[in-house]
Amino acid sequence: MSYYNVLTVCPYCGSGCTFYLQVLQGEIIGILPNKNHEISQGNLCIKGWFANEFVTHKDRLKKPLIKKDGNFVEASWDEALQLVAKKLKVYKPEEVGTLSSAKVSNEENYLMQKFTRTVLKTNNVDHCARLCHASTVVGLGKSFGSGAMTNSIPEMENTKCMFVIGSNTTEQHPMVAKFMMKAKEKGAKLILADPRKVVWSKFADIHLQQRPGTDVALLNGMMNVILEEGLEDKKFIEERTEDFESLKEVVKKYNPEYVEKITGIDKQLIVEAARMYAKSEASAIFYSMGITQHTTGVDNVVSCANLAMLTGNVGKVGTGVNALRGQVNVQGACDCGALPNVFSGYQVVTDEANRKKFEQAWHVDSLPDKVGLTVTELIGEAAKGNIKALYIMGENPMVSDPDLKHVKEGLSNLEFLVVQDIFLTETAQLADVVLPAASFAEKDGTYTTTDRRVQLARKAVDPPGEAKADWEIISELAKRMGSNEFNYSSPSDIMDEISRYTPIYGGISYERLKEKGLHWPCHSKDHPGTPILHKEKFSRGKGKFWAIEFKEPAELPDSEYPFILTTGRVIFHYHTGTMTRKVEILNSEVPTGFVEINPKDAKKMALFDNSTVVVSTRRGSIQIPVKITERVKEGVAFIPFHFAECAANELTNPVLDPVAKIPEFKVCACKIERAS
Amino acid sequence: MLNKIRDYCRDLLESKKVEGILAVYTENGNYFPYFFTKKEELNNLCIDKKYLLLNSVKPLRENLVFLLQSKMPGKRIGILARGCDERALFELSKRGQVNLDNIETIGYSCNEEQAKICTCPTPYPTVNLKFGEKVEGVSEHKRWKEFSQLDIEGKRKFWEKEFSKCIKCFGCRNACPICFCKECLMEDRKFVKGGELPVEIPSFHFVQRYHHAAQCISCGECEIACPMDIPLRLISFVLLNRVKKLYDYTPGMNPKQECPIYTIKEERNEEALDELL
Amino acid sequence: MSKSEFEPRIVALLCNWCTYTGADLAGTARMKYPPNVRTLRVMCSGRVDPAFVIFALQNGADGVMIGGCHIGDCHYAKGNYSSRRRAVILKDTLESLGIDPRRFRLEWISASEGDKFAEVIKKFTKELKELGPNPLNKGAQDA
Repeated sequence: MSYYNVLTVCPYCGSGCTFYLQVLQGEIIGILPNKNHEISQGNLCIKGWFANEFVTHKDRLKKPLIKKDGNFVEASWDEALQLVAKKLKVYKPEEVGTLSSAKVSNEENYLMQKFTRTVLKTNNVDHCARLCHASTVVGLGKSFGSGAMTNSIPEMENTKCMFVIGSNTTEQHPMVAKFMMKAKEKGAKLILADPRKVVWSKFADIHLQQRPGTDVALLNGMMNVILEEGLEDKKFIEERTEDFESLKEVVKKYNPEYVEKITGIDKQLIVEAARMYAKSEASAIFYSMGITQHTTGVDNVVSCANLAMLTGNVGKVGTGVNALRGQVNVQGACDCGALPNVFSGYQVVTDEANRKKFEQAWHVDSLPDKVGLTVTELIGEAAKGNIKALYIMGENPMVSDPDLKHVKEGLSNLEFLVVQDIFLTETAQLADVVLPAASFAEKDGTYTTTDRRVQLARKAVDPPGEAKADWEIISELAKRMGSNEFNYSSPSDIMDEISRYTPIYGGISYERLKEKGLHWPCHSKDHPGTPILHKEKFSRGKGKFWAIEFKEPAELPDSEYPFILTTGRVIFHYHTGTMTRKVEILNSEVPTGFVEINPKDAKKMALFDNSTVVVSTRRGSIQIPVKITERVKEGVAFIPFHFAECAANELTNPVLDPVAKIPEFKVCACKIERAS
Repeated sequence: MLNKIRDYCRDLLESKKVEGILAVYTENGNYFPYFFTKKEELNNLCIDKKYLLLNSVKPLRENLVFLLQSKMPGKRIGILARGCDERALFELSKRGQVNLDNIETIGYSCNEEQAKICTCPTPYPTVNLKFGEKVEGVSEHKRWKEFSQLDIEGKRKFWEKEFSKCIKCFGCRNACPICFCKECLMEDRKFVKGGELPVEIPSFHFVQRYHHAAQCISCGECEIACPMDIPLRLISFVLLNRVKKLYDYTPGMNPKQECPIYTIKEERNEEALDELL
Repeated sequence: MSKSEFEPRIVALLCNWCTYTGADLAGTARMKYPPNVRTLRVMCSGRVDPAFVIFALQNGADGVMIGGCHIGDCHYAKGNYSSRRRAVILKDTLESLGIDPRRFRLEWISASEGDKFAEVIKKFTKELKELGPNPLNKGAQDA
């Protein structure tokens, strides 16, 4: 008889809670929150409490599947891998691409990019960070020199003022919200900028309900007030930053009256918010998809950074620009180089010295020097026929990407599609070969939280059927394609390789992670980790101000499409629902999608709660039940994107931010009609 | 005390008096409940860190001890029990959730510090205390002073604010050893609307508080599990005191004493209660 | 809304064997009592889950009454004993939650006591008028 508990990392959001999987006689029976953890403190959100349910779900993939005459047939690993190896070898490097995943471990992301770069010989590797925080990686990189959350989560308990913009923190990062609530109880101020009246608004000292997509104007307006009233931190600007004059010039015209016209926020509120933020001892900005998922995503992020630098709120406890990242390992996937332009540790591929280093490390003659294609571009090129084969690991673009009709076109146009996942997702159904992977509970690995904390997750049980861990599958495939560089006996080996060639992970090893997580940068074996970035100096030397002008979103409402459609998440579900929709209690909370509209709009159209409507945009239309609520303003509609049967992304606009290539999920024009 | 307990457990295992012992295991600074079956493992046994051993496993909604018992029927299980573990054991056995006959309870007392963390009124097993001394418990909730001064309307506003913080994680229910109902009213869609935040006030929280009026074993797990620090046990303290006064009953003190709210044994003369209605 | 205009809404959960018949008697005997009460028949006062009371209060009721047989007369022998023990605790729970316990009542009314039923409703209505609208009821709540 055996009963024990295995400490692992929650597979959902990036807050980084850890919990124990209770194992009785080799079977996972339940979950215990970890009481000995800085973030969890014995707490979990509803998703975490039931995270074991999908692991043991009957629909888990147990054997490799090969599509023959339009139907999936079970196959042996040998047959499936042989087929994949044979097929992938046929294409030229520029004709193939891979999608790595923010749901798998650092080691597996590292292997995926290594596989793509050394075996497929292309830089066409990307993952879903493109759809959530690509703007952060670019924007904060431009301003500070490091595209990650600047501070750590637990210290937020001691902040004095929180400016939350474009983040529904209580629902999306419940355990971050916990610390913010603790700060609030201690007397900190809360400024909330969100077009919707979310749970937070009840606790906010100031709630700014801006028109979606006008964040730059709002932030410039606040900076205008700060400069006008002389509230800026002159010493900080003088000593730590550059290009302040250019910012000053541009911000001049964003006086509160002007900003009120653009954003629809009462000018008095803007003034008050600016004062509140600037006058507090320690102010922290929190943002998330509401800032990044715009055609002006990078501009938004940079403006947040400007505001923080202007008031000297960087590099101290309880301050900073805190990008709350969505997925369990989206930070780690970026760190480990699953991006088309960088190797692990953000070492750019166009730099010859970097290439040399990795050529020697991986024993290859040459590495591709051209920046690869992003998620959104890969699918566009597939539709055009330029990309012929894709290898997707643990992603579901058929629900998560904008304009699904177009995505389906792209994926169907491929000559060969391999999907590696734990369930037969909407994307996997289009695949030629499906490889069954192990879930978080069935493998060792490290995951990096939103506050750069690298944590160890441990294997609790064996994978179901013949399913294998992702790192085993990639290694096996690489070997079959002729590489000798994938001989690993465990994920710990892979981590040793990562730390050898990735300076920011330099001091990280499984041995050190056994006790607790480490914040990168952690350069050497005795380095204690870095919870707060940019303390004495910025990663790039001096912080740089960028003067940003406000630009309208790509698609604005007009007479034909009069509503602004914005998308988001709910606390009870997670992303494309692959995992959460297998959990009974979560399904009973929210069984399907809905569109939130204001009672006044509902009255005009004579709609009742739960009546079905057709929401359409220039790209597509869906049938969906209505939820009438004050949470949204008049003229705004909100749809959560988790639900494949009424997928918000049938509607969203695939226009991209010019630099970060992130799509504009948060704003597009739509119309709403009663279903006939 | 730790060494004495380890020796005692070693004897139990060696003499095969028990199949194994449920206790807390520590390793690399982390700790978790564990079923000790080998005596070598006892070096990792720890008593200064608390995990409730009688936890109700979600989503199965069965008690851990019940699951262990059902996997090895007829075998004897040892439990290294704190006061709260013992009380949970008694309450569960009254409701047919565990079988006391096959359980060897090794009781030990908590120190004052632990009692404070859990706001525990009786930080020791009342029946099976084997190790340690009884220490004074905490009889008042840490926010009682603030709360008790409020009038009716003040209390309503207090709860409206506190319950608005709730993110519906079900932590208070999931962590509760006494919550084992297969069908839970907190999930009943007729009673509490699904998918809405903030939750319905006060029905969502009322359910558990009321149902545990004469069952709550004061382990404090619900408040520890609450990410938003909602002082749920303020209500429990009031109700437990009331139950004690009216029916002379404290949950978990005596495995033979029936719960006065759910079991009416004889038609006692209780006219005095009418006065309170 | 001033208190004089306020008409409280009462939900009465009545036992099939006694109080419901008592209410029926009050009706057939044309006794006068305020029209503020909505009756619901349950098989026994012991069947009423306290959750029903909260549910009613949260969804528009200003007061809730449970009616059962006199102690000793329960058709299920002990139903009203449980009901009474629970009701006492429920009152305390309501008070702790900030709901005036006077909004909830448990009354023993037999099948022949039509007059008592009318009397109780009169008294309850008057008391609720003094208490004013139930603050849990979102519609009545002032901002």
